[in-house]
Amino acid sequence: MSSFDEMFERVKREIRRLMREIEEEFEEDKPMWTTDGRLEPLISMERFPDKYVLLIDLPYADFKALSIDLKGRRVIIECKLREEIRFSRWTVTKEAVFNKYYTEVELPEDIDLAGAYIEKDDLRKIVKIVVPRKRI
Amino acid sequence: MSLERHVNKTSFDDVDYYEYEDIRLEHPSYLVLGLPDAGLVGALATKYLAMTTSMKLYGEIDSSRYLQPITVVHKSIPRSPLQLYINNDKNILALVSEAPLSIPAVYPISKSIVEYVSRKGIDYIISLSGIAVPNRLEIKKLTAYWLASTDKAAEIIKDLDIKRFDEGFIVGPYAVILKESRRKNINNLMILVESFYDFPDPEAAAEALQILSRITGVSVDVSKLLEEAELVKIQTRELMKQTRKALSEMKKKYEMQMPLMYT
Repeated sequence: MSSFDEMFERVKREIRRLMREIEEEFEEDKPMWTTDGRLEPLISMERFPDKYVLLIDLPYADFKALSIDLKGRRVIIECKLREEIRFSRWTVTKEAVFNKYYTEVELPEDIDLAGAYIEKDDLRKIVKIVVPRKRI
Repeated sequence: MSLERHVNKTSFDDVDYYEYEDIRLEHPSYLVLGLPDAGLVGALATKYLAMTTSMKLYGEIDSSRYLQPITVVHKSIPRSPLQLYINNDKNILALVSEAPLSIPAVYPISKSIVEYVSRKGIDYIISLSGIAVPNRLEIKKLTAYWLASTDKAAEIIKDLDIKRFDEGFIVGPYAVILKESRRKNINNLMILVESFYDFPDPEAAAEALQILSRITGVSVDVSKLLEEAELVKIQTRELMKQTRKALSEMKKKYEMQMPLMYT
């Protein structure tokens, strides 16, 4: 790859990173639930020199109905709640009913999916996904 | 309690304190702080304290200059996100915040709290907080730490077999309150319980409440908080998300670093 191509790739990566930051900024104001019963879980991602560690908080989830799909750099997490949850006072709507979690997360570019693994803490209802980083 | 008209309004640098009742505090008196922080430990603990010990709404803090234009509505009563509650024995005030403080609000609100405590003659500020630990998921028994602004504040916890926080960084409103309290000789005791950084942590909140209970002598049964922990976590996800953003802007992760020191 020529030095021009390398520079072009770097610029493209930087633009993508900035776009992600802009998207995240706007996403902060999005509600974490939908009227059709879906909850968006809280996710935390830590970067280490050799790996990324994602924690997904899924209170009230039924882990027997948990699905984690890794598609390229995208992780799709879906899980039913143990039972339908009804909140009688939920913002302006009279009642809200929730029955599952759903979210999609985009992982950074330098992931190495081959060594990825998942751990489940059934007591705290937290899922841990460990994804190694590519060695450069 | 009717919130139709306040009986007192006190302002400190454009931060207004509205009180809806004239109350003579009993001593020793405490102001328990529940500002959204790591794991929402203080916010969850203080809200639970107010709800389960039948504290009543006593006042509000507002600021057209420093706070966002938010009104919280509970049972059709509009109120500020920063609410003051008082117990029946009139010796414990609880400050519950239903929204995180933004960076421009941190200094003026924190300083106003110390001024208010000084003006009211409150004996102790008790700050309840989480301290994020990276291996929280693996921890079964949470460790708590304390920090005090004065010897008198340290005195009320020294027999409780809780570790003193010796070295490190504290970031956010509690950090400013602690500094200001030391400078003004106000007794501020900060309780920090190991917690998640950006997931609500009712378990850590329950631990903080049990310590508070031993300090103040007020009995708080935390069993309901632990039983309903999962529902509490669902209901506080959005506050946690907003708080994470505010904490990130304050560089909260400094708390995981060591300060400059010599061995």
